[in-house]
Amino acid sequence: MHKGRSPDEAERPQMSGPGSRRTLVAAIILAALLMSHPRHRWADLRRYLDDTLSPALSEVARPGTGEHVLPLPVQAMLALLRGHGVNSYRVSAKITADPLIYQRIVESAWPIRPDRTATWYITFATEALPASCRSLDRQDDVVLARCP
Amino acid sequence: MWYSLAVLSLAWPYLAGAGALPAMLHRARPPHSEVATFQFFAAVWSFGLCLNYLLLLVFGQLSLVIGIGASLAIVMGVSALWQWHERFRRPRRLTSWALAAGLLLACLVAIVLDPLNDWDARSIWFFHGKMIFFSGGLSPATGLGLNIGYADHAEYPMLVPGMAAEIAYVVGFWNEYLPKFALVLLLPVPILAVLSLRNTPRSMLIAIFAFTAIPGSYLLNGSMDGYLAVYAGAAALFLVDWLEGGGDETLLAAAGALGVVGGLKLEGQVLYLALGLSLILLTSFAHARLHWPRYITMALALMPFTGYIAWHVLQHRWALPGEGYKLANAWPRIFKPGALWQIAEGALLDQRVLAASLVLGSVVGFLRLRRRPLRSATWIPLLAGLLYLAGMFAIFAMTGSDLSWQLRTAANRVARSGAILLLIAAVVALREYERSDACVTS
Repeated sequence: MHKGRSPDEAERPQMSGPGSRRTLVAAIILAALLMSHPRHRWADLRRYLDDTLSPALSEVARPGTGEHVLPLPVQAMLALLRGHGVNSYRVSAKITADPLIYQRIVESAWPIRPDRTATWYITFATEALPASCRSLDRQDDVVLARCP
Repeated sequence: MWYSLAVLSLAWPYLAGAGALPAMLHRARPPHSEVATFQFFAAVWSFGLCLNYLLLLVFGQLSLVIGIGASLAIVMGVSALWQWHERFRRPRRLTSWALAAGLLLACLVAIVLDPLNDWDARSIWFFHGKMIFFSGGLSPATGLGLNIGYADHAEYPMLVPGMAAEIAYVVGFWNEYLPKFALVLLLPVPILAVLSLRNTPRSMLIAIFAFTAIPGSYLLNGSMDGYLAVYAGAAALFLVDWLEGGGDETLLAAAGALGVVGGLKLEGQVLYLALGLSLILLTSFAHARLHWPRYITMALALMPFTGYIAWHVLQHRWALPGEGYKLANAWPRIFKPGALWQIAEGALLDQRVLAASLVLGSVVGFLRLRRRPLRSATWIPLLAGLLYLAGMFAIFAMTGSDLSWQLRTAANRVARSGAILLLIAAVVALREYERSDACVTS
């Protein structure tokens, strides 16, 4: 078994000079081309600059921004929960059954926690409220109710 | 915005200073070549990431973690700079560093200015970060393991969620942009790994392909799969460098990258097994010679794994739920050719694995045409890649979830680490040819 330092990099053959630099630049360009068709990349870049970068620059350093990526019903639920100073909530069966809505509201509303015993109840307007519940507010198709 | 940028820019000296611990204790001469410098800085950065993770798991409270981390970073960073101030006075070739800085800046814009939108990133990784931020730290009160109505995998490692929470803590708020800066802080190691191939441009081309096309959008969107793949690739590359006599800094760089692998995702454990087994097989059967490091280096090389161990201890103490993989689930599938084919198609015949195999096959064919033998070190990433893919096959067979759903949602992502290891084997094989070719022509 060998112990201690081995022959160092300086002793190894090194490629340098304009030839290797040209190969390096060609390698980088080729790698970029391999990833996708340049025309698609250009279209993506234009879309990115117009639709993503400009709004992001104005939002990046502000608290709570970027939630426009959430589904619209989730944005409505967030507005209702925050508007009423809710600490914990439960949701209707239809919301629970839809992972796209349920997972998004759980993670985006945190630290407002989901709790099966909570008195605040969120449901879609198309669903019937449980007998003991009283509708308090509505935003778009989402209803916030109180169920004592 | 300028305040947030100024605060976030402190993360660079914070992690570099925290990573200076091995540099100080090691008391080695500063790296003596450009390639060794890249490897050394990769070791420093990954040690910084691992030490920060360990502090989070040990102290829990964010204010304490950042306070202790910053104090350590200042003391160790200043000491390391003082120790090597002669070195830093001399100007070196700056092209590679400028290229790395430009690439980091481009990635910073692409990552941070795109709000969190990926499913796993929102439901798991950055959700855990948000939990840690709002509870002020990582503790039983964070909310991990609560019945929230879906599987948020509270047992998943916390290296990136922890950094996301720290970032939100220092800027003072949570939004869907800035916590993603944690991903940017993971980029220096893979960039330095690619730059360490600067003297062998053809193998560097394959490495650029491996470190960009294989992880793809998973480097930007907040899922950990892309970073697991690039860190697996970087670790394998540094491990081979060490086996080929690269010195202590390559062993520390490999250990640091592996430490990060264990802090990213549970599949990191499969990578540990795959790389460990391939190393054992190679030293046992191919009589590969190990370049034993000094005792202090060996001790330091264990440090990056302390976060991985500490998280397992906390998981046990907090009784966090585990994944639903059981051997009993695999038995019925073993006797069903349809199920086996389904797993093979998802995990092994992934397009990235096929592309990587094609590249590796082409390189091996080229070397055979030139009558050049494969170096034994090439077998490390190759065997590790094959073992990892075999491990993934077994894990999918053991899933307690619906197999089709599991394969559809996960196979494409986890196969990337296997694909990148196959490409690193191609890099190592071609690099040796380029070195010997340079010797012949010079």
